Amino acid sequence: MHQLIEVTATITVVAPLLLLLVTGLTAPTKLLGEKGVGVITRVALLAALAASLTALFAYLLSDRRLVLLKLGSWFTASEARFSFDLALDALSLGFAALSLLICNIVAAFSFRYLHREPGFFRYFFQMAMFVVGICSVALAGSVELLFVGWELIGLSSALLVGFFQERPAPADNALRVFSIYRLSDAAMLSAAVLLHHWTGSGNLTSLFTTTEQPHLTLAAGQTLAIGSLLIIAVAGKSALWPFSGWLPRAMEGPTPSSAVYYGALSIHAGCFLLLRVQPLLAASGIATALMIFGGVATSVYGALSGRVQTDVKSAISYATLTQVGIIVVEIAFGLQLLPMLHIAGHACFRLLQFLSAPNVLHDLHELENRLGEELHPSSKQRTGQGRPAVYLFALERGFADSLLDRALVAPFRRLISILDAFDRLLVFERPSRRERRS
Amino acid sequence: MIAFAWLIGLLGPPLATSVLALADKRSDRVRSFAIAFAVISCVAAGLVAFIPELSALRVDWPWHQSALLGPSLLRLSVLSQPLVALPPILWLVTVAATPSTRLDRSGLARTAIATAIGSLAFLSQSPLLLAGCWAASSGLFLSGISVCEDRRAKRVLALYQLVGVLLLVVGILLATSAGDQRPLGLWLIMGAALVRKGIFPFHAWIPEAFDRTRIGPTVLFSAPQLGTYVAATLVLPHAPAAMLRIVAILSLLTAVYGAALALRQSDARRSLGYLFVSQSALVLTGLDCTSTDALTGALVLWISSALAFTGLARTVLALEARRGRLKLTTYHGGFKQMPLLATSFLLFGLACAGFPGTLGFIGQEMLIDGAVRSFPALGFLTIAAAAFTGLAVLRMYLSLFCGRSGTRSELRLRWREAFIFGGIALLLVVSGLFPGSVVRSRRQASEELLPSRTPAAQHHRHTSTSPTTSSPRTVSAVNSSASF
Repeated sequence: MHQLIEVTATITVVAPLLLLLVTGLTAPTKLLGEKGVGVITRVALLAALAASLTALFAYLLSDRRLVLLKLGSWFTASEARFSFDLALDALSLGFAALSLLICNIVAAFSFRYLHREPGFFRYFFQMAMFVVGICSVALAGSVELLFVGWELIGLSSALLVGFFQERPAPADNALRVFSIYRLSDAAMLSAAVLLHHWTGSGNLTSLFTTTEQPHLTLAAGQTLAIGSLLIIAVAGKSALWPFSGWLPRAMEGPTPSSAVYYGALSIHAGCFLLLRVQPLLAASGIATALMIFGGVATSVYGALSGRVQTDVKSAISYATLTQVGIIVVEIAFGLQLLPMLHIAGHACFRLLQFLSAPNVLHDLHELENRLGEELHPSSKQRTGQGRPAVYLFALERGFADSLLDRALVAPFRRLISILDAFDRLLVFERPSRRERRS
Repeated sequence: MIAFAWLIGLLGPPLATSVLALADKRSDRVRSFAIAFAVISCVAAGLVAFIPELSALRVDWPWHQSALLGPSLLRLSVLSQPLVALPPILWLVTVAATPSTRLDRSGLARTAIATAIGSLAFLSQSPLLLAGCWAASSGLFLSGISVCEDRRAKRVLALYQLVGVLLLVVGILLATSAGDQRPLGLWLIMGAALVRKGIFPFHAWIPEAFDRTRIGPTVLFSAPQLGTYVAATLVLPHAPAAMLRIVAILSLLTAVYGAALALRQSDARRSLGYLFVSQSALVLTGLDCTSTDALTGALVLWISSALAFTGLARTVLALEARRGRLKLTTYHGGFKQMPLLATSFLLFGLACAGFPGTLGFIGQEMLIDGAVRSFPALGFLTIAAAAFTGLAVLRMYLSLFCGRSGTRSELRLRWREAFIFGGIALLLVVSGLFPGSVVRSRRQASEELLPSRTPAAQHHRHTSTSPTTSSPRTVSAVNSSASF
């Protein structure tokens, strides 16, 4: 049985990787044509899904021990070693199967949705990058593989936000989204390096189980440091408050990518990671408190901001955020099965909502025609004492963007301007009058 | 015999091209020869990897050996094995991808001579010959930018290069002398390397060179990082721990500084200059760390950043040839017409930022791990540098390739450009996906470099670093191949 699990888990990872290579090599020349891309994408994703489901059922029928599958090492130096280790248990295999199921549905939807779109080939290449990333995050048994998956998800997400390249707004928003993702990646890499440094190993399996309890070998401060960095990494990727400002900006991408990233999978990848490292986080009271605070703040923020959105994708994304906050709180309270079920159910539900978003007005009008009456009559609501402030808060999306701009971006810009002027002095360049004035 | 034939194959083609460029007045024919010769040089350099006999190449001085002359005239060390391929590759990229209007006969001759000097420098461990190559390459660089109109910039660059050459020459003279001035000599040589590599506070000339002069000569001069080679060959085996610590801290700060400033520039050339400052500093950081892994990472990053950065700079040049000066405050468009160039540009940038799947990732992974071991707090600056670099690169990509561009046919790539850009991108990805041989070779080089420190330097190092932060390999052996 273990052999079956190992073989099928390997196929789960290798099939999307091959898809990425083929689409990457053929995308610039459009060698395969739309049909060719469609066939290989379907074959690869269906093979990966079938393999992941087989691995999951085989695992459930086996003795249910965490299996560490060593697929080899990418490179080895004196002490540094990058190993392809997969950690196989119900949680990882379940999330991988869920991810591949959703990716299959979205791919099937995208073939029609993006038919004859100029960026068709680019889209499927970036989609393949995402599938490799999410499978790596789901099954990672080493901190290096987790980081690779994390980076792939971030880059593919930013590139898909800027998918419609002829307009400036998607490019602006892609950069904004990527800046938060870089922060998240830096936190993740720092956590990985610290873990490697303090435990002497990049093996994650010991963090995933409560039986081995390696975090007990870490000092309280070390646990807090790694835990906090992981929470920052998750907050960036899952748009937890105060990093939520990028979420409505990410809606510039094509609807299928919004569905898979911000409705179904990418936004839940952070929750999955928290669930995975729950034993480590539970060892630190402060880290647990941080999670609860972040979850509650995100939920309230998402609920308020979602109420006043004027476009359907943003409204759905804020509704998603509300549930993500609740999932984080569930994880912080030490629950395991409930958050996983919540993630699975919520991901599928939001996927459906996002994919049907382009038709929502059409569906509404059709329903109203059949019923013969207006379903949501416009009504003026009275604003009571204090409500304008709440409304303003919601309308301005909790001032999340301006808060980050004032706290981080503006001081950074000022500092860089000073350094730039200093550099020009080093090469004896006099600032022009206009520069002096500015 | 095979070794000498190989040497002629490496150095002969650039020298023949320079003679041809002076003799033949048809620049298109010279250019075709230059491309063919550059390919021969690349093949000759690549043979080192497959024929082990070539790595035993050694040519001794005809005279009595001295500290100034070094142990031999030419010697192919483990460190320089892949590095000798860098000048021919950069030469091939230059002659094949530069637009005809921007590379005349004198330019072709200069690039060929620069290649010969670069290859010769990487083959040498002799202080005298290295100083000669250094000074000659600086002179060529200054002659290459002499056609530019900005007098102030030319004077500033000449001043920086003059300071670098003077520091190196005086440093070598002091370090090879019999008196007590050797430590001062080492400091001066390291100072020269800092100037040439653009480490804070000597960094300002690099963005200036990219911004105000010509990119081509600047890339040929900077990308192989001769300063790193001189530091690794002449200083590293003897350097006291205090010197390496100071230089590593300066390099870490410069890496973040350069990447952060690249993020805020409004001009593509200036941004490129700061990106180079950051990359160059990252390589030097690893050189001054105490672990084999950090040094291995830095050596891998050296190759990766030379290729990736050359690709980035050449892409900007190719775009400028079509559109003129590029501002990053607007969107220029062009992805539709040049998908290969856009994809290659993104790949080059991601390799600089250490993105998975590229050779840069392999180097940065090891470097970051080693830097944090050597500098538990400041080591995290490498992560910040990688984050800023990634952002700066994506910003450049979006600005240079997104937006409306119409359907102008002149934007399309020529086949030679497509071959070169696609080739470098493929090289970075293939070596990133299968990095085994590169990492093995660089690990051998780092294991040869670290124990080669003199007993005094090792003693300094051993007493100044705690047992938990130093690798056992750093103090394991004494190598007799030290130059001084």
